[in-house]
Amino acid sequence: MGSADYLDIDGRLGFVETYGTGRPVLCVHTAGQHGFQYRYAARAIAQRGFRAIVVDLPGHGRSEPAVETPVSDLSWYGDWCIKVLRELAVERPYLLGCSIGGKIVLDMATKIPAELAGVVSMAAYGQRRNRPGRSERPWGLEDSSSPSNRERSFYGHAGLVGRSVSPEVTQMIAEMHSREDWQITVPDQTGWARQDIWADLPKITCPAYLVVGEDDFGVPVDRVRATAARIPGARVAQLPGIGHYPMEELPDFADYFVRWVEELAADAVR
Amino acid sequence: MRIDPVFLDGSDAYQPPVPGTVGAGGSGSCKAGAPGPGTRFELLTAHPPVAGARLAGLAWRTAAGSREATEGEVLQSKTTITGRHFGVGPGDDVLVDQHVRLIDGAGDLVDEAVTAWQAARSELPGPEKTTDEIASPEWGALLAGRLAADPAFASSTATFDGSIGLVSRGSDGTTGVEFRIYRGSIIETGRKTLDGPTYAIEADALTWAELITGRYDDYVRFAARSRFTVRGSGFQYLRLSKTTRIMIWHARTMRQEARNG
Repeated sequence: MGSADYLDIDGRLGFVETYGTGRPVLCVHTAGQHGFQYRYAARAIAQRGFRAIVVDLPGHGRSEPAVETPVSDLSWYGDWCIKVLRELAVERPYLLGCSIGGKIVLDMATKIPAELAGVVSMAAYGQRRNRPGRSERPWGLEDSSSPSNRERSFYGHAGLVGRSVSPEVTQMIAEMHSREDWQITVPDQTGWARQDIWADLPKITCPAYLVVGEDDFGVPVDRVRATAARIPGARVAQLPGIGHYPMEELPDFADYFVRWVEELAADAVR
Repeated sequence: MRIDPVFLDGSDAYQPPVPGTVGAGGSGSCKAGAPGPGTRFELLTAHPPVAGARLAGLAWRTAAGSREATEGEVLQSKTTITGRHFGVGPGDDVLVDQHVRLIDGAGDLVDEAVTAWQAARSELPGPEKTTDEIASPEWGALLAGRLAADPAFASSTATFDGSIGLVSRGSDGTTGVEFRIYRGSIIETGRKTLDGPTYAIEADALTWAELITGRYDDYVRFAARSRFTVRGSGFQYLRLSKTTRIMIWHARTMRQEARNG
C-alpha cells in the first residue's frame, strides 16, 4: 500500500506518492506525463526493499502549475525535485528518470552528487538536441495551430514503444500517454531539446547508469554513450526490443532496476 | 483509436516479400577497383534483381555521409526491389526498379543509387497489384475500394472536404494518386483531382516499399526522420492524422492478404 501527499513548494502544491520503506528512490516521469508511468514499477521496486518516491512535476498530473509558466527549463524541474527531497528529509537517494525525467535526474546529479547513492537515467543524454533556435516552437502553445493533438499523441507514443512489447501493452501506453496536456508537453519538449549539461557532466561523481532502449529512435545510442563517457565510471545498458519507456514496457522492470543498482553499489565500494 | 497487431508488428502471420517482388531484398559482397566512375558503376550494378536482367537505367547521387570506395575495399551491396512495371518493356519484359546501397565494414553507407532493370517475365513472379506500383492510380483505386468500406475512414474524414495525395519518387520521376474526399466519402480517385491535393504525403520508392511490405508499420519512425514529407496544408495533414494511419493500415493489410493468398 502506498501513501500520497501534497507538498507546499514555492507556494504551489506538488503531488508525491510513496511506496515501501527501504532505500529511497526518486522516480521522475517523461514529458507531458506524470507519476502514473510508475504505477506498476514503483510498487514492484518497493517490494524489493526500496522506498519509491514518485513525483508529479509542477503542472503535470495532480500537481499545481508553477507560478511562472510555461516551464521549458529542465534545470528548474531539477531544482524543484531537490526541494522535494529536502522537504521529505530523504537521505542518499537513488534517482530514476526517463526521457525529460532522465535529463532532470542527470541535472540533479551534477548539482548534488555527494548526496546521492546513484542515478539511473533512461532515454536521455546530456547534449542539446539541435543547434540554438531550432527547437523553440512557440506556435505549439496555440490550440488553433495544433489540431488532433490526441490522435497525434496516441500514434506518436505507440511508435516510440519497442517492438518486443505486446499490442495490449502498447495500446495501454498510447491511451494513457495521449491524455496529456499539450500546453505542458510542448514546453517540456522544448526543455528536452534545449538542455545542455555537457560541460557539467564530469561533476557527476556518484555512480551513474545510462539506459537506452534499442528501439528508441528518438535517443541515438551514440549520444548516450558520449554522455556516459563524460561521467566518471558511468555504465551504459542497451535494452533489446524496448523503446522510449522502459518502466512501462518491461513487465519485470523492477528486477532490471535492482540489478542496475546492485552494479552501481559494487562500483561505489570499489 | 486501437492498436492493431498488423499496425504494430505484423505478428499475425506476417509474410515477407517473395523474391523478385517489391520489398524483396538481396545482398552480396563486391570488391572495389581503382577509384572513379567506372568502379562506382560496377559496384552499384553488381547485383541485378533476378538472373539475366539487363541494366536499363541508373540514377546515382552523392548522399550525405557517403564517400568514394577505396581500391580493394570489400563492400556489402544491399538491394531492395521498389517497383515492377509489367507490359512496358519490349516483348514480355518487365521493368524492375531496384534501390542499392553499398555498406562498408563499419556498417556505414558508402554509396547508393536507384537502378532499373529489364527482366524476362519468366524470371519473375506474376503481377501483384498491391505492391508493384505503390502510389500509382491503379494501386490507389484498390486502396480506395477498401477505404470506402471502412466506417473508421468515413468517420475520420467526416469533416473533410478536399483531396489527399500520395506520391512516390522513383527512378524516372514521380508517380502519384489523389483521393477526392467529401464528408467521409471518396468521390474520385485518380492521378489528378481538379484542384490538386489539399496535402500530399511524399516519399521515395524505397521508403514506400519498406513501409508497405515491412514487418513493422514504421510510418512514425520514417516521418520522424523526414523520409516522409508533406506538401500543401500541414494543418489539414495533422488534423487528419488518424486518416493517414487508416490509409497505411489498409495499404499494408491488402498487401499482406494478397501475400497470404
